[in-house]
Amino acid sequence: MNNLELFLSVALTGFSLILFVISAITYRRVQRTKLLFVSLAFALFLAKGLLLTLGLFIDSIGDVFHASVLVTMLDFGIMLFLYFSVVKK
Amino acid sequence: MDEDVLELENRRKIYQLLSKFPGMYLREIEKELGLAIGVLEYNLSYLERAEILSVEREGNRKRYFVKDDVSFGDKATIGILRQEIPRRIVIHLMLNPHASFQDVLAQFSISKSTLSFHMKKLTEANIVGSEKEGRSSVYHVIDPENTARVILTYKASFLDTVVDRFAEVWGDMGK
Repeated sequence: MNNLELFLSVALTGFSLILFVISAITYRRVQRTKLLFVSLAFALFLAKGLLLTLGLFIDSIGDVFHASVLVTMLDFGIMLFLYFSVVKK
Repeated sequence: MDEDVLELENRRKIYQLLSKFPGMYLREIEKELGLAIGVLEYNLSYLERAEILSVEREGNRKRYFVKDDVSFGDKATIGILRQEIPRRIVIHLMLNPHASFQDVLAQFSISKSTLSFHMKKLTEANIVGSEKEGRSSVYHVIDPENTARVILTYKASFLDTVVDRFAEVWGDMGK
C-alpha cells in the first residue's frame, strides 16, 4: 500500500458518501423514482469505496475483493442503476 | 369541527402576531388579539408543545417567540416549496392566476414530464387547485395568503441549494 493509493481510496469513498447523502436527501424530498436509482448507484459506489479502503488495511478483505467477481458485480450494479435513472421518465 | 377551525384561526393569529412582534407577554397578546385568557393560554400551550413557539421565562412571566425553522400548519407546504421549481411555479401562478399548463411550461426550461410531476405534487398537497376551462385545465393557488407567507419567510439553506441543483441535473437526465 502506498500513500497515493490510500489517499485516492479515502477520497473516492468520501466523495461517494457525500454524493450518496445528497442523492438520498434529494430523493426523500422530491420522491422521483429516477432519483432513487441514482441514489442506489451512489450507495453501491460507496460500498465499493469502503471495501477498497478496508482492503488496503485488512489483507483478507483485499484478497477476496480483488480476486472475486464482487468488483465486477458492483460495477455492473452501478451501471444498471444509472441506466434506469436515465431511461426512467 | 367548527371549534377546530376556530382554534386553527386563533393559532394562526397568535402565530402571525408573534412573527411580527417576537417576545410578547401573555397580557400583551391578550390585549392585541382580544382573546379570552383561557383560550389564549390553551392555544399558547398547544403551540409550545408542538414546538411552533418557544418560551423564555422572566421571573413569573413568559415571553413567546416563533421558532425560526417552523411555520404553523405549513410543514407539508414548506417541504414542497423549499424546492426551487415548485416554488417558482407557485409564484408564477400567484402572479398569473388561471394559467394553463402550457402557459406555465412556457415560463420554465423544464420538460413536460417534470412539470407534470411537480403540478401533481402541488395539487395533491392542496397548494394548487385546477379547474376545467374549455378543453384545458387552468391552475390557481388555493391559499395565496398563507402560501405567500411561507415563501416570504422561507430562507434557502446550503443543503436546499445543493438538493435543488442535484434534482435539476438528474431529474431532467435522459429527456
